[in-house]
Amino acid sequence: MSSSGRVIRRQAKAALPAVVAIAAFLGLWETLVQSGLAPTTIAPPSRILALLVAERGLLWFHVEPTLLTALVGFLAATLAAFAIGLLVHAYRRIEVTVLTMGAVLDSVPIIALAPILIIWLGLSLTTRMTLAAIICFFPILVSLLQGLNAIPRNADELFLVLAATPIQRFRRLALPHAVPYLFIGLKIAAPLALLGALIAESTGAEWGLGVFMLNAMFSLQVDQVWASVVLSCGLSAAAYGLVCLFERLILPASTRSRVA
Amino acid sequence: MTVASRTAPRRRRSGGALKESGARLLNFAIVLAVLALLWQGAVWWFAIPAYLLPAPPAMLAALYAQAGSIGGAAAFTILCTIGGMAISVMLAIILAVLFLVSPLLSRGLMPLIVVVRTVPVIAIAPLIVMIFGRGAWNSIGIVALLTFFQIMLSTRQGLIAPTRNTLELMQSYGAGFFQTLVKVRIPFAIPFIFTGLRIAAGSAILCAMFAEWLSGAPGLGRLILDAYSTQDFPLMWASILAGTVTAYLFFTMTIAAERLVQDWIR
Amino acid sequence: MAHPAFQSRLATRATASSGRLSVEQVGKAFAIDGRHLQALQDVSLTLESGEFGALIGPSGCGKSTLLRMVADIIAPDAGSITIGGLPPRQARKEHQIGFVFQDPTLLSWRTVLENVRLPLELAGRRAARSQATPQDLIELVGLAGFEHARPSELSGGMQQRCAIARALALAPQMLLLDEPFGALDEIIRYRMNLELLRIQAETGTTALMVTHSIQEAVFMADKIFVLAAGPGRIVDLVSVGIERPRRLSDMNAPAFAAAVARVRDSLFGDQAGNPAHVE
Repeated sequence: MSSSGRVIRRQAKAALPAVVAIAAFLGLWETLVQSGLAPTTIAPPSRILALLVAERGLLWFHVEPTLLTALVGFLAATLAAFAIGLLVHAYRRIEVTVLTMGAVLDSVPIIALAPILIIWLGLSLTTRMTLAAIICFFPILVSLLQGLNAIPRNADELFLVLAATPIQRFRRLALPHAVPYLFIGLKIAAPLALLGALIAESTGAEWGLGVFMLNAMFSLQVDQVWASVVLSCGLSAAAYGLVCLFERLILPASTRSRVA
Repeated sequence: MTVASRTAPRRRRSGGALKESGARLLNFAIVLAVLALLWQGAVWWFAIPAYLLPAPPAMLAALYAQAGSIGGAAAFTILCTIGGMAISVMLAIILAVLFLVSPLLSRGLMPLIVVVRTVPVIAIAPLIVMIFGRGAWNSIGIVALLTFFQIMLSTRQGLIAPTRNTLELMQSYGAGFFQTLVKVRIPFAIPFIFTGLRIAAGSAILCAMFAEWLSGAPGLGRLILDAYSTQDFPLMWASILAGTVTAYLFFTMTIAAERLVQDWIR
Repeated sequence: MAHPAFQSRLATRATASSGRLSVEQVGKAFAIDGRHLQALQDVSLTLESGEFGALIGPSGCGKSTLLRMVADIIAPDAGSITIGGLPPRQARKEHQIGFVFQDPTLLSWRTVLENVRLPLELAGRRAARSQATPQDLIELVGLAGFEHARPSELSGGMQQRCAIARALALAPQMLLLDEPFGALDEIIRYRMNLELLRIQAETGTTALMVTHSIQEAVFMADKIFVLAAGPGRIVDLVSVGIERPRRLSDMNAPAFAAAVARVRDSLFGDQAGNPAHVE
């Protein structure tokens, strides 16, 4: 027990400069605004915090649909990437085609995707979920394929010598090998899904954090803009953290650290 | 696949970065061409109205007719993106060197940078627009902000990349900090910087377009959404196509640049 | 002398031909970047049941290719190979081949026990024949106590022991090793050589090992097949008559030095590639 205590103390010591830096930054920010040196479009941390607390009901009312959109989009993208990834792994010939099509889809500017989807699917929650899914689909697919392709040649030969069937090879070699790589893609995709939800909302929706943020911007409600930006940053970090937590639960420590 | 072909000695890929980019662009063009054929087929078969999905010829006609404004908008977007990334690189190198000089500063600020990188910078765009107003060149600042964190991390990785053996070698020659910096660390870091540029490039252009839309700058982003709101669908589709091609070209160029630098270093 | 778990298998080894490796006039060519590369030409060798053979030669002489052809990972263009009278494909499908790679190639998400169990899981019901449990094998290779460790917690030598245990999981007739100790330092290497000899003796498996070390080849093998490159072919067969079980002190014996010298001469001597003498 004392060794884990030592580890915690060592981690705390290492984190100290960062904590000090953050505190100093916030302090500087606060004093600059309060002393009147900063432009009025910059809100001090104290006011932002106050607003977050005071208006938490309203904020939650807007955050809820955004989170839902992001979550559903993320899950849909993961499922789609899995399905297509498996197909590509089984039929290597289509890999280049699929990757190029994915790259093309990925290149269509998000700004353009929104109007297209709205024209085709109408203004609805489903449309926004689709947009979120499209944005984070490609990173998940790419990292999954990377993991499936990075199987060492010796491991392939091993399964050959052991006379494994293709299904056995997939279940016991390819899939477990690809999981750490998949998580790298998931970590990129989670904040992207939230981003997609925000952008989708800002181009056409009635409720949502994106709507709230945009309205505040156009009506120059300084505190509201800052609060919603801070909120979206926090949610993005939380999304990333949740995936990390999930990874920690699923993968034993040895395989996690293997992939940088 | 036979057992034999699966484990024969691997072919070494011939040709350099340019050949690879050429192949990539060719693939892209082929995919677009196939999509265009399917598209035309679908439009004809299902009798899709033009506002929903114009046929390729109509869209190409609109592209040709509005080539001036679309081209100008595309140029503006690219310039802003490149400008923003250039500023990022300069700041990143300065800060990375500072971190080398002061490990304390590094330990303090690096975790911040790692965390901020995961933040959706496009969500910060409204903030920037509110603070700096709706100027035409705001997208440069937003691109700089977006790309800075990724490039910073890559630059730092590159500067500390030289192995201990290399650094000890420099020490044995009596090289001081700045000599080591210039002769060893920065050359080592260049491929890493280009990798960082490549990673950041993908989202940089899209971010620039979003920022243009918010701030009203004369780039592709605003053009697409203006066309949408005025129901000028041929123009909208034409500029979406232009935007897609531009983004893909830009991305391919950064990959090529990265490969060129890596090959040259070798 | 044999490990109790393997005694019954040794007893039921019906004919003398089971576990006998026969390679006859084998050839293999590759096309790389448009060039034709003759990796192996007219290669023939024999290993009797329970013998230990070594393949030694310069880079590019095809020794790894030859090993993989015995394992049915690569198919020969010419000639034939039989293991215990079976062609490689059948031998492989009947789990008569164990392969140890230079890289331990353990599955990092499985424990030692689960790694050794892998061949049994893959073979399913067809594995019933094997008498030795994974636990027996782990004891045999000297990893008792580490059953629940993960590969990342083991040293290089221990990982290779786990790989050897895995290769023996289905009691194969033939054990193929591709420079198994190449990545280990010399001190550990001596230890692993002794361990492998002990394991091979206790299981009665026929073994063929690719190595770069002349000393290792002479210490381990009954027969050393010396290869030359361009095209890959056998230029000498050196029989090592030192009695088993072998000890490190055998390295001081005159017979040892003589064998090392002969292998060395065959490797560096006649560059024209004409076989000096093939027994």
